[in-house]
Amino acid sequence: MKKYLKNFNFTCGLIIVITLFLMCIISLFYIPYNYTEMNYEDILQSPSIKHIFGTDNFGRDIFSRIMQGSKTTFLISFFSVLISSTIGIFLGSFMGYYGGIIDKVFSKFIDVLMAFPSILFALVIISVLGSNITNTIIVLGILSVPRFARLTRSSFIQGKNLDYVKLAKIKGVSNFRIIFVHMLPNFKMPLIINASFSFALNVLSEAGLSYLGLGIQPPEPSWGRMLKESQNYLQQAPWYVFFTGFIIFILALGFNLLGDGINDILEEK
Amino acid sequence: MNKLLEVRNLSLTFSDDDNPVLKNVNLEVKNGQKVGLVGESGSGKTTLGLSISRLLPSKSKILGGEIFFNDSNILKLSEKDFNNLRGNEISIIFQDPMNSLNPLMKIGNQVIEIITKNLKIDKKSAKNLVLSTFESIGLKDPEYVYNSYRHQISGGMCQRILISMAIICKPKFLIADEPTTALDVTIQKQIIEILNKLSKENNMSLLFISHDLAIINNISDYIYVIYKGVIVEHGKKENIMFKCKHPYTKQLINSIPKMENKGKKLSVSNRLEINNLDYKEYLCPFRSFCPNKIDYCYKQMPDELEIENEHYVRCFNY
Repeated sequence: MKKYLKNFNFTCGLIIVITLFLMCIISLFYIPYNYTEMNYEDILQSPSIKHIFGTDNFGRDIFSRIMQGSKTTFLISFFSVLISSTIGIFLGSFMGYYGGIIDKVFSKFIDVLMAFPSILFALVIISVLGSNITNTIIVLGILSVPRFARLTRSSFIQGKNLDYVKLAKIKGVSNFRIIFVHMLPNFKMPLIINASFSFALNVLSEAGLSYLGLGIQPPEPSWGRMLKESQNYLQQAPWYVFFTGFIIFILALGFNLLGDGINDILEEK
Repeated sequence: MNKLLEVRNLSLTFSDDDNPVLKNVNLEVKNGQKVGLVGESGSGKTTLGLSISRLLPSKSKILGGEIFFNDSNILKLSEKDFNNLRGNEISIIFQDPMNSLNPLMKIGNQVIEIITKNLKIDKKSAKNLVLSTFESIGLKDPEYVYNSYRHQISGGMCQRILISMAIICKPKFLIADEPTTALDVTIQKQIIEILNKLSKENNMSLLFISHDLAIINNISDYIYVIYKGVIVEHGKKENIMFKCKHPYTKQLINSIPKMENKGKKLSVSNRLEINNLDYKEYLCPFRSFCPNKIDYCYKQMPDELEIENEHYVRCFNY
């Protein structure tokens, strides 16, 4: 652990992610202002001691809205990474380990998925299924499967020829156990790194979808939608745009730095 | 003694039909017999060992021949049936002991897997069996080794662990693919002694694959000499080591440094890199470098001749 903390990227990323995550946890219990309460006296106030990020066009405290939105962001990103990693790892490990027709068929599926422009894919799915949190999670999850699958697949194709895998086969260990108990723990590092980057990507994608109006709808809070609303008041209240955009940026940066840091440590070995 | 393993006319290729790695290989191992398979790099000895245990890479193709284990053709068995055989009756140990163990699993957990898959005993008695096997094989602190990881133990200890993994189910047949190549000579001697003892105690047959004639001399009763996928000579150990007939075997034996020849130039054959053309045609593989070659060597592959009791050679000179 110490050598991870010595890495600048990792430590910075970790601090950012932990801070924002704490903000998310705290928001479950306490938010400074009631975010739905519209206070027409205080509209578009610049940052002050009373409102650290200022207020929006309805007089709602921006900081509280950001806190509120963090719940959605973390929820969506976490579950979509969970879905994509589970499906991707299962698929990739079977493809790499068994090879043959399983590999050929699923490779084609993954190629098709990758060739599809992601925004278009999201548009299609969401317009068919409706735009809510669950569907956003599903869409983002599916879109991230190819990277996990390819990563696992290449690890397993090489790993199949390792001596201890051959020995495990000789011992009569079941294929399932070989894949998940013997091989996967040895190949987990690239997957963890990819999960970190994937998280960052999903934060941005969710914000992008909500910005376009495809993601979550009001009254569910969302940073992306806040960004869209803030656009109209760019001249009158630039802090609205700035803080919203900044928080999206900093969370994505945090996860990127985290992944980068782990990657550095891995390469040093 | 009856036959335990019989390889009959096995031909195998990795890429295309013209380039066989093994050509009409015939090999026999009797019950309790220790057979040595000696050859240089690229001769196909490891491939032969892998084909007996059906661990060849998927792109390999068997062109012909059969492998009989206890009178059943193991090449025809389904994957499931053969899995019951492998690990239980046919065991194998590889060349690099360190890499044969999973770096993220405790040693004990890895050894115990072979028991739980093949013998039906509960976990506690399995653990005791493992510990007692460790002790019988010369590991001084079985409990410590059981709970440690592969980076915490030495190469010699590692190889002993692999041997104990291989023999714990009391197999009838053990394939040892250059098990001592990665170890130093003192450990080599100990490993050979362990294998000798095990073979005697459990009436276990052994196929010892190596490029080192000295080790083959120490461990085998019967020797097969393989060169470029062809068995050129085989026979009882004394016949091969002291009365060898094939020109290739003669050069092998001559290349062992001897005390009497101290100071003299080592007699090595004047050979360049492997000539790939030698693989393709079904002729004597040594024909390009043989000092005793004749015209006929370029026309036909010599048959196997019985020179004397338990001594066969494949050469036109006889």
